Amino acid sequence: METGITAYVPQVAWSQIAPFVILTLGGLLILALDALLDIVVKGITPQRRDSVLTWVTGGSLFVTGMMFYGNVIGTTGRPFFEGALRADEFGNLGALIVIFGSLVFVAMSPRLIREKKLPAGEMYALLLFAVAGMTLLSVANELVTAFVCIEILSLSLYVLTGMNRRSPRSGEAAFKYFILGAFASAFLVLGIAFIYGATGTTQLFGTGRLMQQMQASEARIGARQLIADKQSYDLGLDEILYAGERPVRTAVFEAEQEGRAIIASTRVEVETQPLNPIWLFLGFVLIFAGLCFKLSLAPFHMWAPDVYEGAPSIVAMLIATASKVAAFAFLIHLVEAMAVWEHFPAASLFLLSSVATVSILWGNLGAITQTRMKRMLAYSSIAHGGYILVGVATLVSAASFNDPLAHERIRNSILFYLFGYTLMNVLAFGIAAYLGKEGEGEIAAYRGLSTRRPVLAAGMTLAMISLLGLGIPGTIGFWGKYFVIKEAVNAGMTFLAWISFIGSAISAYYYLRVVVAMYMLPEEKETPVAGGVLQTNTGYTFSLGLSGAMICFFGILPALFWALGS
Amino acid sequence: MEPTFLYSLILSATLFTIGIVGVMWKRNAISLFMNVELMLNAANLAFVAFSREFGLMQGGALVLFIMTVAAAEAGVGLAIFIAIYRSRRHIRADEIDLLRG
Repeated sequence: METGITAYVPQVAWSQIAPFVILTLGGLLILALDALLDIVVKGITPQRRDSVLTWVTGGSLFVTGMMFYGNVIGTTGRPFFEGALRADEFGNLGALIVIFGSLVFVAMSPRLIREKKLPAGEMYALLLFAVAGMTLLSVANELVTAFVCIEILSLSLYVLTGMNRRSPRSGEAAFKYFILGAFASAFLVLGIAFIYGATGTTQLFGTGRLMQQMQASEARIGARQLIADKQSYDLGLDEILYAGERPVRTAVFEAEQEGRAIIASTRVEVETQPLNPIWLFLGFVLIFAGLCFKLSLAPFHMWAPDVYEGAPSIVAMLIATASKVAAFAFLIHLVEAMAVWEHFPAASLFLLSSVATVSILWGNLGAITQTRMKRMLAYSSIAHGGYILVGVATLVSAASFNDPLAHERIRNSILFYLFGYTLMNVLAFGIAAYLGKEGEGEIAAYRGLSTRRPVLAAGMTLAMISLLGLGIPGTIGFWGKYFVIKEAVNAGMTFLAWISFIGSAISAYYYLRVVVAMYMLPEEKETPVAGGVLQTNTGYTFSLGLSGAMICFFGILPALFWALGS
Repeated sequence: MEPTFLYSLILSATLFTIGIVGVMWKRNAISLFMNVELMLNAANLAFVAFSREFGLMQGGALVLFIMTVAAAEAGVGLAIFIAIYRSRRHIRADEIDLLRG
């Protein structure tokens, strides 16, 4: 019997986890600075203090972004950190998009903080924690790690949503978001438990690895029974040995022979025994339901319009862009891991397609009846979640599940869509927030904007055309939809392609309504025209301009997006 | 499959269902949240049951993570409830309806 305990020293890949460490430490640093700056630096003005916090937040995000960019280039796709994380190209680029969205948030937030008198330190610390959760989620390779990440980002976003405590709407949005989010995470946990029950592990390796893992765990179950059997054997033998009889030796030998035979027979059994697909699929369905809440996909979307309307606009922007990108990255890693069960595509395709269909139709039809800008954008983001899910369904479809090349192409198309989706929502929410009350409320208030603020009206038009996507080439939204639908048609999923077309056609009505209001309709007499100079800052204008420029640039040369990653 | 395993799973499913029904029916925000906690703990029970069935420690250890997260969630949730209560003097979920459309 061996009594010595071998010390197990885990290998920590510091270069790989450094971005997440920086984000978390950055959040803590912000909290410390927020508390100590007043004491340490005598006579610091609140504006100066807030700008220090802004720069520290922006700086740590920028450094992390550079690290992710470095990781994209040098990615191995191998699991690290005890198999809890796995940074493939998709995960790293997803994290990069998340960083972009949150940098824009930081650039836009000084204005919000000044106007609404919000506590800057708390906001930036929560932002950094949320970003740590999002980036980790996009490279998560272990279900409980993913759950903890989802909770970190959700908890931060709940508080950010309710940040504006003077507004009852903001609190109500936080309340609704919290209740439904907590409800969803219970489904997530039960789903994880079922997948654990089906496979004996919570890790999502690449497809082949998970299979081995599962066989190993099944072998372990078998071995455990064997050991139990053997122990009772040994007990019996001990009794005989104590009786002090010599011929026992042969009995032991025979018992060992028998044990080996049992082990051999069990091994064969383990290798042919299939994993428990019912638990696996049930677990997937539950996790998917939980993710649908976070992604505001159709049957579970009811919180989105209320939360987007009640939350400060740029927080709504963060919820619509960064958190969705991270959750989609996780969803894609999840469905890839489900490939261990060869009937997974057939079983899940109906589920994914129906959720995509319902999201597209419900989102687009719901947006038609909306009269308020942010609610309209919320329904539009539900529909866009549906289009991205069409991509995920294509990824799962039997035709492309076992074809690595097609798989890679579809993943790329989804990533491109996520990137474009982030850019256009940044632009739309950014301009709505820029216009303040005028832009965040009724769409009717946009009437005659082209004469009052021609540049902003042009930017909003660009965002709307890009969100509309199909029909007008030259924007990133067009190419995003084009790639996703092309892959869907290639994989033989014409039904989903048609649904996407129909959805886009419906969406023309409500996107172009904004454009018509800005350019063609006269100003309403009773609309309060906020004519004067809007308070602004350079970062805000710059990030709006950058998003607009990138929408056009990648709309004309979409192939250059892939040059970024290689 | 030993009966304890099956019973634990049945208990877990029952608790989870009670939680779902509670979230659907209850109107007070605190009771709503208690039902969510019930669902989380039902899931934890399933975790432990599977873990015991496999004879692995992993599942039991992961439950600790989930419990920690649930505690953090309770902290944030109660803070939000208090903020709501301060402005409205009640936390009846069905009467918090400024936002609709």
